[in-house]
Amino acid sequence: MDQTQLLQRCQAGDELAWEVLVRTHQGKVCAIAWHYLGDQDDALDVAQEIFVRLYRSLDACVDPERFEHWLTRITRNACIDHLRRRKARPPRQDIPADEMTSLAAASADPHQQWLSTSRQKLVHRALQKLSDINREIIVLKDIQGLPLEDIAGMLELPLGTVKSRSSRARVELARAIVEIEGGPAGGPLGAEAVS
Amino acid sequence: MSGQRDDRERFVRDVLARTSGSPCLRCEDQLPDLADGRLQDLDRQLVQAHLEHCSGCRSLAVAMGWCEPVLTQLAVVDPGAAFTAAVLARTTLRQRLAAPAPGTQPEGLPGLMDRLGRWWGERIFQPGFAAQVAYAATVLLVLLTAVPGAPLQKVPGEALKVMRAGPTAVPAVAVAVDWVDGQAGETRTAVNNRVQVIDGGLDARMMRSSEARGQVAHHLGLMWRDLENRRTSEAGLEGLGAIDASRRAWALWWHEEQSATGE
Repeated sequence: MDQTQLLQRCQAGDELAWEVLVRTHQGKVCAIAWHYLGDQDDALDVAQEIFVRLYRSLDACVDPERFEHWLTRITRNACIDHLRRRKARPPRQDIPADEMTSLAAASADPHQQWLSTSRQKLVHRALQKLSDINREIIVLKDIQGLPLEDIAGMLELPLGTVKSRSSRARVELARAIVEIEGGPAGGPLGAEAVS
Repeated sequence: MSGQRDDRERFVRDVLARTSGSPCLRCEDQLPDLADGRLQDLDRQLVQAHLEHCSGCRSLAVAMGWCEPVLTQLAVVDPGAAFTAAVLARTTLRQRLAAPAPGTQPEGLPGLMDRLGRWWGERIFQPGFAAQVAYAATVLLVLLTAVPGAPLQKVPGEALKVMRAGPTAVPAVAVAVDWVDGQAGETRTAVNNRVQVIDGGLDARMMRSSEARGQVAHHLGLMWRDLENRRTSEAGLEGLGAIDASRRAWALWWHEEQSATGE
């Protein structure tokens, strides 16, 4: 379906078009929020808020070609705001990320199983160990596949800085994975990875 | 063999430590380009030669190699049908139109109540909001009743006493219970009286009209018999008789009401 037409229909108040738009982008918005925030409940709350905000400001999107970029920017800003608010209050729980994912996997709703393989779980845990800026670059470039130019504009950093940061972030992520696995000898995934 | 290899590794490490320093940092810088296949031949050979002997860098290279495709798998998650339903419930066209245009919102207390109502309506759909409200309510309850010096500290104890002793233990409750009992008794008596009046009226009407109703049945029976014997003109007469008897029975049944209304 053509993104421009869909957006125009949404701006005209077509609720069916809005439903399609939500279904098309909800997975991406939830994923970005989840990687930024590290918690499924928070991610769902923030993602819902993003769509409500988006619905009210649909008329502000004058360039449908850049809609996805615009949505990513809105999502990122909402997550940053949420993280700031979270830092101002104590954490709700101290359950480690891996236990949370196992709790989610044990829940009745199969849709809540956002991580289907052990490698996905491992990478998600490692992501939470990165510095904020490195995690952001990994989420935007390596997970969402945004061009470096867009990321530089979004983070308000020079392109060269983003490039070098990107390489460093990948190394830091790999190091975090190795640490979680249990050092250079390799943990349960070591043999799997080498083969 | 293994001992000789360890000796060689130790020798190389010692030489590097006294000359160029550890090459691992240089290797780490090159690893992303190695994973992306962007290294020139010589650089690639140098990095691979280092990886053969450095288990730390080799682990990083292996992790980097397999995590790239995994990262792209994390681009989208399925939040479930409940999420979509919640978003759509919060973003209907009605709600969009109902939201006041900037500058048209009422001021003062009405405006505040309006904003408060909209805020509540939006938040109540959020998964974590109900839990937060319950938590806040519990904290408030504890502050009001359980903390030393709280204004409502005696309320739980009194409530427990009332629950144990029954509602009549509290004078105000006892008065209220008596009043409710009295009202219920009066209502019950009034209803019973009305039922008796209705019941008596029905009996009187049945008696008044019984003869006429019997004549209706009699004429109908004769009409049926005449119809069976194909005597249509007699059947018609009996039918007229049944109608006449019915009219009388009807008049007798309603006699009192007709008199009361002046007929």
